[in-house]
Formats: sequence, structure tokens, C-alpha cells
Amino acid sequence: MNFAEARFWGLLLLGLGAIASVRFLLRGRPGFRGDRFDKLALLGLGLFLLLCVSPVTFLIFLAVAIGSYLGLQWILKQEPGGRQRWLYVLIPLQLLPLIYYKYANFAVNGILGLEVGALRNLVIPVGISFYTFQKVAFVVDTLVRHEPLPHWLDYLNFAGFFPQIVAGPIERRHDLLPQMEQFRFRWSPADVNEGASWMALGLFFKLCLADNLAAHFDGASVDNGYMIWMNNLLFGLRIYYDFAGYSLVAVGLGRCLGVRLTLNFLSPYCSTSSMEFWRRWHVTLSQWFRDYLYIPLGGGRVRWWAFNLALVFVVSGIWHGAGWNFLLWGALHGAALIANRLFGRRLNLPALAAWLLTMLTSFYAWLCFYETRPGVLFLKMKAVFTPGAYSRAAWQAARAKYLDADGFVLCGLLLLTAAVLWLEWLSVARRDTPYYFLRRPVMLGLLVVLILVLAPEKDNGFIYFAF
Amino acid sequence: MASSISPFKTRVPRLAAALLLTALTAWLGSGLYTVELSPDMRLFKQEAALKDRWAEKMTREFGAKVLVFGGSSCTFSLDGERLLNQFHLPVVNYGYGAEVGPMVLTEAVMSQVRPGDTLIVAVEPGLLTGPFAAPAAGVQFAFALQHPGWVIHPAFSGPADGWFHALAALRPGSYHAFTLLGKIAGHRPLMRYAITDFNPSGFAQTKVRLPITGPPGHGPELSADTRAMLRQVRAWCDQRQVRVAYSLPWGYTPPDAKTAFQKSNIDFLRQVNEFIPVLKDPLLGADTNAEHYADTVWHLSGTGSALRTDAFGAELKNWDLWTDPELRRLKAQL
Repeated sequence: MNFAEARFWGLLLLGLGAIASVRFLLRGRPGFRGDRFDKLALLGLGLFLLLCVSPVTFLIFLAVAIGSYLGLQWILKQEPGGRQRWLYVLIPLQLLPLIYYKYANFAVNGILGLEVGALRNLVIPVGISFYTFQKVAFVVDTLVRHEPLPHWLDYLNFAGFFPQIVAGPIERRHDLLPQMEQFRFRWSPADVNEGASWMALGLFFKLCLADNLAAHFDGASVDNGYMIWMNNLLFGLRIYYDFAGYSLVAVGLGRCLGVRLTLNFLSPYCSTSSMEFWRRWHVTLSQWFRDYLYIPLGGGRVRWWAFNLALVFVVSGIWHGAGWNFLLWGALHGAALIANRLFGRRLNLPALAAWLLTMLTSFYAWLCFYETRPGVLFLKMKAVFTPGAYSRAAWQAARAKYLDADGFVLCGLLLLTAAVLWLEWLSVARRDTPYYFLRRPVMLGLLVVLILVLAPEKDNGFIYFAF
Repeated sequence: MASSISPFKTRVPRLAAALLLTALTAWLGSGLYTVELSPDMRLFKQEAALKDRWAEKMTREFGAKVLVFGGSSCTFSLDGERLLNQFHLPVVNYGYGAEVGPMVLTEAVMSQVRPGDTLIVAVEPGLLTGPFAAPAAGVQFAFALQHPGWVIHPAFSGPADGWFHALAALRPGSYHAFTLLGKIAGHRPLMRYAITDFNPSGFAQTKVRLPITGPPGHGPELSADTRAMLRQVRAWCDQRQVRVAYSLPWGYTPPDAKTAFQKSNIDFLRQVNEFIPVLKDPLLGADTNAEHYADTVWHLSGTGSALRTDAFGAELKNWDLWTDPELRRLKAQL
């Protein structure tokens, strides 16, 4: 389900057209129930689109979804007092496909060095990290809050709502399930308008900013400080606009169908502290870790809060990928948050300095995200703090690479990105509503024109599909 | 709003409709710009008219002509007028910018080939060992010359582009847009080359001089699409009594890289030779004199192009071809 591909939109229109036709033919017939039909049609559409991604993805999704439902149903038949202990059985079972596909190679070959060839070529099913976490949360919420088991059709629509299934947002039972229980295909111009505005913004982020910035990133330099920082900047901007773009299109698609999804990004590069950054970056994952790991460990009100914070971020790093670099990325952010909590109030930096410090930390940490070779990563991390990496020769090499050849293209893109970031900042600072100024009708028109003019010809996948 | 009405029973979502309309208008404007107004395409169209006129003239005056085609290395190296005056060879230079891709370069020249003609493939090795499908510039070129069929259903292999993808490629893209803005801001010419740089035969020269480094690299193997294209071109030419051969372009090669470059060129030529014969160029594409080049590693200067044209004229006149054992032996001797 690549929103940047014409194929997805073609398949979606085909599916919606088929639903509308069948609905038109069946309506008025005795026994026809519109509500039941709409829910079945939504499920069918979601499964059809998932099947078009790949049969393996489709089968694993079904296995995790049906397994979670049946497991929960069985637990709910047990004595009320002892139900929660079955979570220790069901959750590992839910996580099993994720662990196998995502971490088996790293654990068996990378750490244990057992050289199992079959594990090397495993392809991670698209969206497995996202829907597995959503289903774990669903099981926990149902048992801990003593919620009833929903109807299977509503559950499957909750688990497989196609706009968000492959890359989030990771929705919670109390947010999405009631909407699935009430779901109908309704034509609401207000919803379509709002959905279109989110989709236009999301596609602009992805096609215009992320994909064009990606063409200038190579991550090649090991010892040139300027080039390493430039790569960090390009990667940090690209991954934000790539993932936020996807999430906004998901929100828009959901809205067109009358479903409100959670905004996964709230202009994170406007943050003036690491804590704020994580309240604005990948919001639903941060909330998941807060509610299902950090708070059960004792949260921030215990003496070992720093350990809790560090653990949560290390796990969050590993969630992104099986590799030492991801672990280090999580650890760096964990350390930044601990430092933020320990010294933030005491330092009381001016807003601009606090923003600069937050951005330097975040963009430095992106190095650990894109550089997957541990040895090279170490060299680059060291080079950033080595004065020799900022020599005159290094500057000239960086200048030749970024400014001499396609200088205008890169400068133009960075200026456009800066203008968008400035509008994001204005939206947060003046309206407290992320992306407010980018979603004004005239601005949306301009963004649509920019998409048509500037989007590259090549289709690029979404980075977070790999997670 | 009724709770379970048909999706077709509507009120219009005005913002969404306005955005769709904007997208449609922007796409139409982009299409118009890329096909009619963009400096690159305007030059290509002027070039095409020039080359077609020369081709008609050569056909009219000589009956059969020689068509040589490739990327810009072809344009800047083979002087049709010189070949006519010194070798009595009626040559038309169908070289265009490499950015249009090998598929469109092939389709463009094949539409001009007539029975009895000679066709010389002088496409750069990098283009024949890389991706074959038409890039956006190739699609725009085909539409600009009013031959969308070159990309929608190409006659000489290559992956066909659907109408949707082809129409979606009629946009400038960020590289073109920002480069153009940069040139406007810097008061620089919108294009490095102008139609005044071209001779009537399609050969071009530029006064621009830039530092160059070489050699130009290429992949080790012909792509599957290239193989299919060469096979089809050969069959098509055989059926119509058209002589066909490959001529390796000259590229600037620093002296210390000459042997390695020539060896890789021999490997390349042996693959081409499986499909079409190769003209015997003793340099094997490696020219070590930087003075022979103007603004890129492929663009020969006046002196360089005169040398290349004379060598090419002699090879063509004598129909002097490499054999596979000769190439193998030559590689062993290097």
C-alpha cells in the first residue's frame, strides 16, 4: 500500500467502484442490511489491498489478527480473576512472527554467529511492526480495562483498516474500534474536503520534499565533518517528510471514509527539548511505549526512572530495526531525555538555543539510523567531534560536492524545506495547531502545483515500510 | 446527511474539487511547458528539423544516405559536411542529448532509415549497459516531436510505457525547475548550446571550455533490452538491405587509465559484435589528448572532431570491421 504509487490509487478506486456498484444493485432488496454490507465491504477492500501488496504479508496479517482474536476469546472464557496472567502467554505468541521475521537473523547470525543461511534472506512483511503493536495493545486494553470482546467483523476492521495498516498510526481500541462499530460508507463533503487537505499535504511532504531530498543523500563520507552533517540533515529531513507524509495521507484517507485517525506527527522539528520532540515525533508509538512499557515499569515517579527511560528508548530503537545502530540510536535519545529531565529546568536556555540544542541532538542521532555498519558508524560519530574533519580541504570537498555541480537544485530544495518548516513553526507558535498554515486553501493549491512541477519521475518507497 | 445513502448521491466537496482542478491545470501547464516551452525541448525540436532537412537533401541528391546516431558524443564528433566533402559520404548526424535515453534515440533514427541506407549505431557504451526504458526527458522528446508511439509502443524493443506513466512524465521535475531558476537568477543563458552551434548535417561545436576528467565509465554487460534492440535492428536492416554497424565513440582518457579503458571497451565491443558488426577504430575509444575535448569527456573540440571524423570516414569508406578473434588477440596484447 504505497500511497506514492499510482497503482495503489487505481486499485483503491477500483475497489470503491465495485463496492458502490454492488451496493447500488443490492439496496432495496429484502434482507439487505446496509450497515453489515458496509463493514464487510470495508474489510474486503482492506484485505484486497493487502493481498495486492504481497500474499505473504496478507497471510501473516491474517494469522496475527485471527490468532489474537481467538486467543483473547479463549482467555475471556476463563475465570475472571486469573485472566491477566494469560497475557504472558498470548503477547509472546502475538510477537512471534515479528520476532522471527525481524530479529531472528540478527540474533542467530549477528549475535550468536551461528551462520544460518535461511534466516539471511527473510523479507520483513510490510507493516508487521505496526499491526502487531496495535493488536498487543488491543489485547491488553481489553483485559486490563475489562472491555467486552467486539464482534469479529468490527475487530477485523479495527485490525486491518487499510489506510493505517502498513505504517500506522498505531491506533488504540478506544479510539478506532467504536468508529469501526459505527462504520458506514457515507458521502460527506466536509469529510472529503478535510481528507483531501491532509492527503494533499501528505503527498507534498512525500513526493516533493522527501523524494527530492533523497536524491542528494548518499551517506558516503566517513571523515569529512561537513559532509557527515549535511547527510544527517538531509536524512533527518527526508525521513520526517517521508513518514509524516505517509501518516498524513493515511489520516486523509481515513477522514474521507469518515474515520478519524490520530495525527502521528505534530511538527517535531519545532521542538525546543528532547521531551517535546518525542511528544511530536511518531506520536502513537511514543504513546504505546509510554502506556505499555514505561508506566508498567514505574514510569517517572520511581527512583529508577532513568533506567526506565533508557530501557524504553533502547527497545524503541530495536523496534525500528535489528541492528546495533538502532540500539545506539535509541540509547542516544534515551540519554538526551534523561539529561533533559535532569538539567533542562536548571539550565533554562533561551528558546532559540534550546531549539538548536534539540536539533543538533536529533540530527546527530540520525547518523545511527542510516549508517548500519557498526565500524563505519563509530568512525563517523568520532569524526563529527574531530577538529581535523572540519579542515579547509574538507570544506572545499564538501563545497565541490554540494554547491558546484547541482548547487542550485540542493539550495532550492533546502530553501523550500526551510519555508515549510517556518510555516510549521508559525502554525505551532501562533495557532497551536500543527500544519494549520499549510492547510489553508490557497496554500494547498500551491502545494498541489508544486507536487505536479517538482515531484521526481521515479517512484520511491516509504522508509518506514522497512520497519 | 442520510445515514445509508448511495455514494453517488452527492453534494460537491468544493475544496477537494478545487484541488483536483488545480492538479489537472498544473499538469496541463507542466505538459505544455515541457513539450513546447522548455529550452531543452525547443532546442531538440530545432535540431530535429535541421537533421530531417539534411536527411531529405541527402536522399534527394544521393539516393541512399548514412545515418549515424547516439547521444551528444555523436553530435559533437561526426562532421557530416566534412564527411561529404572529403569522403563523398552523405552522412546525417542523428545525435541527441543522452538524457533522452537509448530507446528513444533508436526510435527517432529508425523512422528516417530507408532501404539502401547505412545505419551507424554510435550510442555511448554507458547508455547500452544501463537502464533502457525512456526517462522523463525521453518521453518529453517523443511527445515534443509528436511521436508518442516511440515510448507507448516502441518498435525496437524496450519496455513500453503506458499512457498514464508517459503522460505523468510530462513534468519538469525539481532538477529542471531549480536549475532553470538558478540560471535566471544568475543571468546565465538558459541552455549551454544554441541552434547556431549546429551545422546543417546535425554536427555541433561549442565554444564553451570546461575542465574534464575521464575516462567515462560503463557497465560490464549489455542490458537485456539493449541485446533485444540490437537483434531487432539487425533483423530489420537485413530485411530492407540496410547496412548496419557500430562505431565506438571517443572519450577522453587520462594516459594512465588508457589500457584498462581499452580492455573494458574490447569486452563491450565483443558483446555488440554478437549482434552487429563493429567498425575498426584502432584507438578503441580511448583518446588521451585533453585538447581534443571541449566541455565534457565526450564532446570533441574542433581539432578532436576533425580527427575523429577523418578516422570514421576512412573506416566507413573501407567498411573496415573488427572480428572477434582480432578483438580477443588485441586484449591479450594490451
